[in-house]
Amino acid sequence: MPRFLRKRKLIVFFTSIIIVVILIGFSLNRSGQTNIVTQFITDTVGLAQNIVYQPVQFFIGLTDNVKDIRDVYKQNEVLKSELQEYKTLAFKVNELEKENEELRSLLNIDVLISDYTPIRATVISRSPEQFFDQIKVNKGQLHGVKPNMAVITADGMIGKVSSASQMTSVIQLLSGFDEHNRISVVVEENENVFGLIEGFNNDTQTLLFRELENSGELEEGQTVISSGLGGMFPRGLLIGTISSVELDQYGLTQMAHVEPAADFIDINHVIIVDRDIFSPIIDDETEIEEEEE
Amino acid sequence: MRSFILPVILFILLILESITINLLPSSILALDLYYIPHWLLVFSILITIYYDELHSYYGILNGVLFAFLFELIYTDLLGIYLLAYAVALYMVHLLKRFLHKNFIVTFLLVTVSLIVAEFILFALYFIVGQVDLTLTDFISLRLIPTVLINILFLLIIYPIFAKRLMIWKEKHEQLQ
Repeated sequence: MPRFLRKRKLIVFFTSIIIVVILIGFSLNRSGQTNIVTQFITDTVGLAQNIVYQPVQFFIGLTDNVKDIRDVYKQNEVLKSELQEYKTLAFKVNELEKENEELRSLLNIDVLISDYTPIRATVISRSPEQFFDQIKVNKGQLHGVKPNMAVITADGMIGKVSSASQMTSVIQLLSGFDEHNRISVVVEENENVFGLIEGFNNDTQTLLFRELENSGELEEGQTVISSGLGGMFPRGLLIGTISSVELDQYGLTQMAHVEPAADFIDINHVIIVDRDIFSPIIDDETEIEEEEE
Repeated sequence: MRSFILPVILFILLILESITINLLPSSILALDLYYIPHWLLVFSILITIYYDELHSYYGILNGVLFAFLFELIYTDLLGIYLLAYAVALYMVHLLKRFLHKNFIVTFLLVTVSLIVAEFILFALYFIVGQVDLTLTDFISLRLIPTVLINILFLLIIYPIFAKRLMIWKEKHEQLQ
């Protein structure tokens, strides 16, 4: 009997090793697609997270409010003076928008590459395993979220949707980007300088921007925005400012370190960006899925 | 009813793990250190020591099940936490028959199994290509803060649950 038991233990051991290896291999190849079981589990847990997180968030908000009350008077003074400027600015923007629309209709352009529809979402959790820079938000496929959409905060771009279930979706932060998740970017002041964001440097906390053409016009302090040419993101999402420039390892092109504009740690509310113009990556995928159904 | 109480506690811990990370002040998170809550593992070890008999596997089964859920929800890769937690819990299961059930033994077992689990996690993530830290960086940036923060968690839950788990175990035996 003991020998049989020992044998059984060995069999259990080997089968579990095989299962684990299969699981790892299976999940390595999975790209953004989630099946119904996974979606159901993430949504159920998401519901519980929502229930726990809302009161917690409320109390944090309360303590913040108490702090804010002290500064209210000063802020009010500053805001009043800014309001005057804002009024004239709003008037100007209205005029420009009208003019822009008229000119566009003259040229028969309906949608621009920079147009998008925002989907507002609240963060309900962050992955406890910090090797994965992921957060979870409370909007999913039912609200129109699809994998690969860009995600921004008021400060700038923070990442993209890596998988979406019915009620929640998971966002991959820019700090977890690697060569598999590239962003096509351009320098705002100079259209000749374009390239790819290719990863994140953990030591310096900066994004790596590789220029595609060696224009020699890459400089510190330039602002980097998404170019909209990658097929997923609209044009004009703020990514960051260049903090330093260096030659790449082969000495052929220039690499720049980009200081991200957004804060990746303190995130509460995000905007998921649904690009208006046809996107081969986001829209095609759903069409294929619909055909399968 | 009794048999559901352990999974329910683990489920609550599973959710709290992600929320506490959000609650930590950003000045701590910005320090570049990794604080990984392994509360599921710590609680499963308590179950293994104080609730399980020599031939029952509630701790291991619960730990493995919730490790799988954890990965399904919070990470892209499946199977890595599963393996790390399973190995650490089985080690505790083997060691506990030689040791007394008291706080110091629990403390040591938790520390050792946290280190074992963390090393397995790091090795597998390194092989898969998810991280590219050096071993010394891993030890100073991740292993030490993680072990410390989980020992802190043990100090909090030990007085609450150690006695209670033994009482639940007795009630469970009476039912059988």
